[in-house]
Amino acid sequence: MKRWLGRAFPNIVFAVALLVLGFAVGQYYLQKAYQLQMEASYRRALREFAVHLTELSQDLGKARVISGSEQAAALAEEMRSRIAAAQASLGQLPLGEIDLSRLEQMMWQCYRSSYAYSAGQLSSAVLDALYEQISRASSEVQTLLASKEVESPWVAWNRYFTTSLVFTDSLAAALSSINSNLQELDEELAGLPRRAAGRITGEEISPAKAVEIAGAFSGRSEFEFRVVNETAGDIPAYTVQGSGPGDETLTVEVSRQGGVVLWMISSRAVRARQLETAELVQAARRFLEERGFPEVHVTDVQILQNRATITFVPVVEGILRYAEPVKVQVSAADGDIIGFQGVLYHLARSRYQSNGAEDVEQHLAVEREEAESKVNAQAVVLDHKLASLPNDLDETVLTHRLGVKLGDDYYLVYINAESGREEQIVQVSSPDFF
Amino acid sequence: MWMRVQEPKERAAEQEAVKQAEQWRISVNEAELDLLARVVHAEAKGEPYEGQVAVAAVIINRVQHPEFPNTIAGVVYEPLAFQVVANGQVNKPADEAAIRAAHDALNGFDPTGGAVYFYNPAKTASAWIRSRPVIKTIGRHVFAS
Repeated sequence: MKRWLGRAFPNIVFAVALLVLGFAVGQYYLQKAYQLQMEASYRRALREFAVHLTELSQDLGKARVISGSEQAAALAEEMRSRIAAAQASLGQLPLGEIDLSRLEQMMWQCYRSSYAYSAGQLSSAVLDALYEQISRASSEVQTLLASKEVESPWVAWNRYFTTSLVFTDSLAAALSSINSNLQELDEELAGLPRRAAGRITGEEISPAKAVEIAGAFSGRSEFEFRVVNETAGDIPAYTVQGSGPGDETLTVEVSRQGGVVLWMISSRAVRARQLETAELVQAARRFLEERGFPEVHVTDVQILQNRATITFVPVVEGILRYAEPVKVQVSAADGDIIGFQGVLYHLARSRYQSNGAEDVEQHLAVEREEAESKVNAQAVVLDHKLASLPNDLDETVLTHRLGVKLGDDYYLVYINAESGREEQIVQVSSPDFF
Repeated sequence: MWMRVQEPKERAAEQEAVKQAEQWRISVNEAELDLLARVVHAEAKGEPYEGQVAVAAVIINRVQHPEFPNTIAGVVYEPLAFQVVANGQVNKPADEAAIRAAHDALNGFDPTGGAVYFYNPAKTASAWIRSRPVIKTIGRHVFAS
């Protein structure tokens, strides 16, 4: 037996070595195939990124020349869509392995500045700096793509049995170099105005008052309410929670200034639907009326898991105010109000109180007939209302809101009552939303 | 995914709702709503309902914030943004409450007061995230700007 083992030993060693070698080679080729596949997807993402960057650079070039505000707004919108596409491509690169933070930073600075640009608040110096940076980055990425062929390096021994992915080192190094060559942009960008969140004004209320307000607003006399939390941030508020029979919890947010209910949500799961949509809308409307809200117009009804979320906009002097919506949630089982959201409505009220006036002008430079003439000739205009809505420049503009039918589809077309421009076109499911 | 739990009548109403997207804070399609609900389910399962809406609201706030990508998918799949994406938890289907919470956040319910970050203080060691101004704590999560 011993003699046999002695004779066979070299053969066994040889067979084991052959197996190990076969396994290693197999692993190597699997790893290689995986790496090439990922490499290809990275290169595709990089190529797409390069294309978006070039387009963005061209847009910035145009932005330096444009002087009309409408064209500037349209261009800013286009730039934002290019930035979104560039960000999506950038996100597909292995950001954990290479530092592209400055490129990412540059993208969002460009995004932020697009709002300031369309509002005419971006200085030409900052615009030039952005243009120069994006153009340089674009040109360097293009050069990089042109110069790098797919490389087939030997895989290091310690990577044979790992599945960790390696972005071709030279490509990663070149991208990192482009990233580090980017200058920190002018500090002016850091101070660009952001979309204002606004403030709720009024006298500061006590926690006890917040409990009282929450109880009265919810209409749940059987519930016991107490302040459970406080919210800091732009609109300081008390979070009041109520619980009653059953396991339902009602959370009501009451602003510290002015003591208005910002929102209310319920944990209740509604298991069955007993009421029709019209009854749900009626219940929501009654809820608002009883709480002193002005005349409202229903613009949207969504039903999910037997809970209806109904959106209303206030109607002031015949104008639908889209920028100040209130939403009410109704249980489709029994018509109970289980949710409310009115932050934008209250922000607008506070603004009006501070300004001492409602801020929508009723000047109609474009009359109804002229607005209707701007609608596609194939479409039939079925309804007309006036509406104020926020535009791309964050301004509130007065529009002719035309309910139109085209084929079997219904649309709301908003024509600017000052300039005649189409501000927005929204498809709606039925003329009920006119 | 969210269609599974609804009656045909509601389904029709919801399809209408998606068409009439002007009232949502951001325009989303069904796949994005499902993704949002799955993140909520993975991040905030076991949290109070308000906390689940808050997690969804943070994602919506990021979409609207200039420092983040401007789609739900862009925010969710941003590298290193959500641990539940890295560990695959996000791929599990959402439950009814998570779907409802996602829907409420899209309708403008924001229990966080505008937060763009949240973390579980028991699980995070990041000094940076802890340095963000805290707006509110809901359940086990701290919400910050």
